[in-house]
Amino acid sequence: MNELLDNIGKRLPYDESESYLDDLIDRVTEHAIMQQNLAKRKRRWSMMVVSVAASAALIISITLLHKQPTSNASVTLTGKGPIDEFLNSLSDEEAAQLPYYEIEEIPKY
Amino acid sequence: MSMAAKTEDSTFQLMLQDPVRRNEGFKRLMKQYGQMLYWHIRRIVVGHDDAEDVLQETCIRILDKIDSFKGDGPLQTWLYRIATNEALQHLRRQTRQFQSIDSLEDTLAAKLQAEASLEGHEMETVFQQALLTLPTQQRIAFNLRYYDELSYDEIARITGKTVQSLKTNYHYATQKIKNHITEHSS
Repeated sequence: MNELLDNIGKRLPYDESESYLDDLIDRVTEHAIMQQNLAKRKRRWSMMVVSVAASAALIISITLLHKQPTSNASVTLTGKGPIDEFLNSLSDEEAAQLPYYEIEEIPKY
Repeated sequence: MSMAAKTEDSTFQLMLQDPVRRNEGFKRLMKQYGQMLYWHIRRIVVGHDDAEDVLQETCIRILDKIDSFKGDGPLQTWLYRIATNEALQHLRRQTRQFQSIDSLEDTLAAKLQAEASLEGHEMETVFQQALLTLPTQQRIAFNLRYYDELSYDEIARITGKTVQSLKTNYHYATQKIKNHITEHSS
């Protein structure tokens, strides 16, 4: 067996030359570096998109929380609040019987 | 592992883990180990185009995983392991569901027949055909021992097999190759 292997040696039945393989390896190396840079840029982009989305969500939720009292006020102004409904349901007589206070008359505590 | 090899490995490691010098380090690494990786892959997947694809995947994987290389073993062994895994994955993609990669023998033999330069290379072709009759893992171990002249310890680190089973497999592989060559050489 050893003699047999010695005759064949480590040669392979392929024709690719050293210079061809050097070129191939340079090409493959450059491509891998480019792919790596692209992947890095992609990662950076996704991080940025996620951060922007998170910030936007935060801003929107804060804005909505601050808008809450204003929206209640608008309900009152349009006359559709529960107190308005109660007042509208009263007849003129019932309304006249309601105690009427001036601001100054409200006792201070 | 010699002192010089250790120093060289840590130089590569330092360069590859430094974001500024990474690309330069990678180019140097490929200049040194590129052909070795190409031929190792080619002996597994046989076809040149397949070998090029696998080498490409291997390069991307090396760049991606370089931070995980701790320098516990030789860099060369680590590179061989990545290339072997990528080549095996490439073969797996060529199989159908539930089919073993060992069943690709005929496909690989056809590729060898198509790509081997027959002029003056008859014995080499018969030898490669004999290698293709071996189970894939055994063929990889044989190649690493015969062509790349790695020690059994290094092959064990690459393939995850024990030194004892590698020695036994090498013995069986040489017997099988011998029989095949005797039968097929004129």
